[in-house]
Amino acid sequence: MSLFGRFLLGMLLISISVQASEWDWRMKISVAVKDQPLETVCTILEQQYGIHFSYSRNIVDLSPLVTINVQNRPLKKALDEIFSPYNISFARIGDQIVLTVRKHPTSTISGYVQDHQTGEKLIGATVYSPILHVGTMTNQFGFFSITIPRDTSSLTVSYVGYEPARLPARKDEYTPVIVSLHPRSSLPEVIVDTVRPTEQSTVSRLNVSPAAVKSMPRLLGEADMMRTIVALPGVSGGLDGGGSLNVRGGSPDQNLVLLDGTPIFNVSHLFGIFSVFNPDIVKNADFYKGAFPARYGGRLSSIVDISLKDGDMQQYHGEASIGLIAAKAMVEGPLKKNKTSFLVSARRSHTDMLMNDLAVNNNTQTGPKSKAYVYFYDANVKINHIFSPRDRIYLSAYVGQDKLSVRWEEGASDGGISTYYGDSRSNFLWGNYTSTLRWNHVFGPKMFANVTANYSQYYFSTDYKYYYKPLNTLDTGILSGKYYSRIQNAVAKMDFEYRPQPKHTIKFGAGGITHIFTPGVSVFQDNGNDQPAVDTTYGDVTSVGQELYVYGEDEWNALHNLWLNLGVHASGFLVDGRFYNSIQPRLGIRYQLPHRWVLRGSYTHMTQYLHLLANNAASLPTDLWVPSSGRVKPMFSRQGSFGVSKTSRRGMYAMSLEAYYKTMDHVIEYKGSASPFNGAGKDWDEVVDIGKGRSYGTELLLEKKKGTTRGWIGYTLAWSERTFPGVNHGKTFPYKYDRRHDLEVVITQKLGKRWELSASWEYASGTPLSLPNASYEGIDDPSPYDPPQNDPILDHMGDRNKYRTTPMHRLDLSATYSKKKRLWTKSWTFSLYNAYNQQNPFFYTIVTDREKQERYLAEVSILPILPSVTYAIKF
Amino acid sequence: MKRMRPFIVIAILCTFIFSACSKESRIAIPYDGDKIVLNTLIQPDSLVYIRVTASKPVREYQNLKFPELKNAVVSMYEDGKTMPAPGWKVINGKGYYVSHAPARAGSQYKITVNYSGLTSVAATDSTPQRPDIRDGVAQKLGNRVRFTLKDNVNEKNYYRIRVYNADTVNGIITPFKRDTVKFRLDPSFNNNFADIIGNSYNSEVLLSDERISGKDVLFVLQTSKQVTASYMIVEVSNLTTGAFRYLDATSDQRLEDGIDFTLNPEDIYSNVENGYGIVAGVNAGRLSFAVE
Repeated sequence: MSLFGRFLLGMLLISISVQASEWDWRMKISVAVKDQPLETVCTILEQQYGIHFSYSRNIVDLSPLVTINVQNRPLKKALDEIFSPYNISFARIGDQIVLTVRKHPTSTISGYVQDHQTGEKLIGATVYSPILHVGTMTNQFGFFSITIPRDTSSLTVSYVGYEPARLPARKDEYTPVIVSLHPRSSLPEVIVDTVRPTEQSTVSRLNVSPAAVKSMPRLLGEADMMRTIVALPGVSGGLDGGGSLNVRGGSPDQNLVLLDGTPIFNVSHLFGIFSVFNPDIVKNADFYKGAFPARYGGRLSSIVDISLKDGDMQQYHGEASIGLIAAKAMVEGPLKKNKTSFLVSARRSHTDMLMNDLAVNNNTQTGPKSKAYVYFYDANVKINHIFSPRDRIYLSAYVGQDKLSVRWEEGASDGGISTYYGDSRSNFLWGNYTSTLRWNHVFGPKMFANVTANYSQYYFSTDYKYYYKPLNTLDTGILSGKYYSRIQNAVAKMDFEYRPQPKHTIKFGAGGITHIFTPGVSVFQDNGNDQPAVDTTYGDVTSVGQELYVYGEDEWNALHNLWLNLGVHASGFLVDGRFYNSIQPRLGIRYQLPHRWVLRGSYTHMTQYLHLLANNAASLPTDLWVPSSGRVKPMFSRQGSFGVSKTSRRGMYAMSLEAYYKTMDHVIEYKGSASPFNGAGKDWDEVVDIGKGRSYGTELLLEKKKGTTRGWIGYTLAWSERTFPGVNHGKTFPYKYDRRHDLEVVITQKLGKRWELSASWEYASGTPLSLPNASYEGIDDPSPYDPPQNDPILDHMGDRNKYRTTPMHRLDLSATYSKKKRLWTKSWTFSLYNAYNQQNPFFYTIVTDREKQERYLAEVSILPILPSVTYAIKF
Repeated sequence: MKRMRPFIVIAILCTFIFSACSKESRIAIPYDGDKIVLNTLIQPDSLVYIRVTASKPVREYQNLKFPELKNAVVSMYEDGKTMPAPGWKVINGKGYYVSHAPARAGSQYKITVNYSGLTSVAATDSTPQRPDIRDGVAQKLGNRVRFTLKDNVNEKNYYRIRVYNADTVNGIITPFKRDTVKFRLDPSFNNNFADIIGNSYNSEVLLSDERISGKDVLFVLQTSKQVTASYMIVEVSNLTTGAFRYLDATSDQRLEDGIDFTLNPEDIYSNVENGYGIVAGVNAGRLSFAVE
């Protein structure tokens, strides 16, 4: 190229460059397209105004079709209008406009939600942005963390029974904030909550509040957490609806009951009539029947996660009450205001003081000192200390025990006829000890951690002393003995909660559990003989099992209307040189439809390394916990469920319908009948049969959640069956807790400021029953020349659980009158258990009447109409 | 080892707190049809008395007797060899098929029964050795009876203990079998806490040799009433496994007419194929002694 040519080319380039740099942000532009890609808009601007755009096609997506009509607008405003809807930001670099994806500045707010008056942390409170439609809930320690756009003005914090509060959204703050909510007055509620999008309530996971427990009708004046749970669909109870839980065809040992994170092995007092949890100190209880989160493991059928109150940080409070069967008291308050609080509670039955008229005590054939009594007690203590805004510890302990004592005295009062004196004293003791240490630490606004160390023990013990002294000889006998069984658990675990953004709540952790099994030891002593006749200690076999687990789960808001809970729980168990392991996937899905309809589904695996040697028909305190053995593998279940729920516009009514199907492997059953005091021994797994279980059904829950009239209707249609090679000739049979229909109606009604009435009515179809299908003559002796007075009559049992008991139904009523004084509130609760005195079957027996020469099937019932009254004060 | 039924534990509580209410149930009790009932406890050195009856429905009015099957064909085999057919004999108003020769210890016996219109049945068991017992002692107006049992270490043994008041008839100490002495055993022998806690006494105690295997053991029995008889007899029967299982499972019904099948739906042990009842070996040793 000649010199002139080079000059012309240079001038041309300069003139183009000068022309291109002639735009500025105030320059007015016009552009109009219809259904054209964004890229076309850029091309038009480039062609018409010489504006060059620079961007990466991999990052910035200009393919969306747009319809734009911008006329004579300043360039910057026009570009903002064009690109903002597509989250594209722009900036001038040199003469070019560089396009990038817009990054929203976000901030994370974390803290605790608590009661304004007491400082009690609130579990399950909702922190929600009504504009962004994102939110989160407080965890078991009242902690929340939410990451939102920095320009979010404020959040709404709400909790049932409290006035909602606004939380101003500020920039990132490392120190957790404290949100205090004011309790609503006792006036009937008229405030309507926003329907909380993160609410997980379903029939698989239910929340049981202490208020609901206290408003339920009471048996002998005692409010009972477990009876409230039993009133929910899919659950049946033990003795006339109390005590043990049988969930979705599972046995009572398949329930993991946690008290502040510590397992409780025996949850009932008085053989299942009352539960061990004092409702005055319970803050919250979550009950899972399916859709188990990955953080829980070790049981097949249900999780009951109970949180106790922390103790008032501001001032002293207390409650005391006395009812027909028990008295209890609770005190809480600050040891150091806003730093340390305590809570102490105790309950004791006074049944032993009311038993003077009982059969044993009035037996005229025994001495005046012959008597029997039974009582229970339990006590809780909890201390909560805040070291810093990021660190707090909880120390809690529980002790509970039942005691049945029987004393027989013989011979001393027979007016000189008797020639000996006999004194027999026996005790049955059983109960739980637990202690828990928990440390909460907030690593940062998005990371919360809890470290737990706990110990739990369940024991059963029987002892007796027998003293025999003849008056005329020296043949004195002093026998004593005891039998005990025990299971101990020591747990160390760390749980983390990470909330990187509102769409994800990631929980992960690991733990180790040491199980120590002592399934039955007998110790005897005979001080009357010089030498012991037999072994003085029997069955002293203790085994130790080590369980380790890790888990991870993500509560993921995958779409604006789709929530997933994805998790996995992996565990291993080492016992007696054998190692078992299991990887258990956990999946929960929730899909929100229009008009507040929600579809739900879940699929979970659960593994249980512990087995309970229980009698084939009833759960007793003597039941023995044993580990999986070489023959009896860990129990394993698969459960799938699918349901639909609907909430009314204002959250007044809720309906939930769910179907489930569950299989259980390696469940056990005694081959024959079990003796309660024989202990498991080394070869316990030889006397049990190993089989499979299956249960399926549908549960319906209709609730009215607000207003002066509240309540629910729960209906369960269920099947549960078992198959064992050596039971019922190997044929599948209905499991003992199989109940086809179960309908429960619970209603509470507030009358003015002072009265609250409640009623519950239950109808349940009959439970499985095995009946004899023939009778025949028995034999007692080889020789016919010395026949017994009566020929023995024996019965041949038919198929296992082929028949059904009579259906049961029962109405319970309760009325509570509360009056607020200046410094305290008093209340009277009047209860009527089994109000129309329905005689529901407890067990069946064949009666043989030799005089009338007849035999028939008799139905025995207990718990008739039982009125009671409870007086309580609260300050 | 008479088992303490779990029902007792619940019953204790319920008796303490509530008064139970019982009524006749309207549930229809099923019936599996007539079957042959074959019963005999074979005692060595004694003739074998075989009782053959038919089963009945459980629900019964006006008649608790079971129909005897008089014309049944009863066959008996000893160690596989056919024995002469037992003959029909009425003893104390009841009909038995009685063997022609005494049974022997350590032998196996099979009995079959055919009866027109009913399914034939068969059962087999052996006879155990006599237990080694000695040194029976009791004091007048006392409440204790002692004796010593030596357990055979080479065998798994089961025992039934019974105690009788007795007197001499023609110079022979004869038990009053209708006057069974009720007693209980130190629970260290059989873990049976129930008797001592419930202050209950029974007319028999069943136990395995689990706690006393191979030992020479002094048993001390606590009687419910003072000893007033001039003589006493302690009867210890060595039982085969079948006899033990049968007697243990039927103890409630044999001794108390009670059955708690709601809480214990297990069927009674029977080794009679296609029928009901038991054929089992027992070997009773009796220790007679004068009360001091």
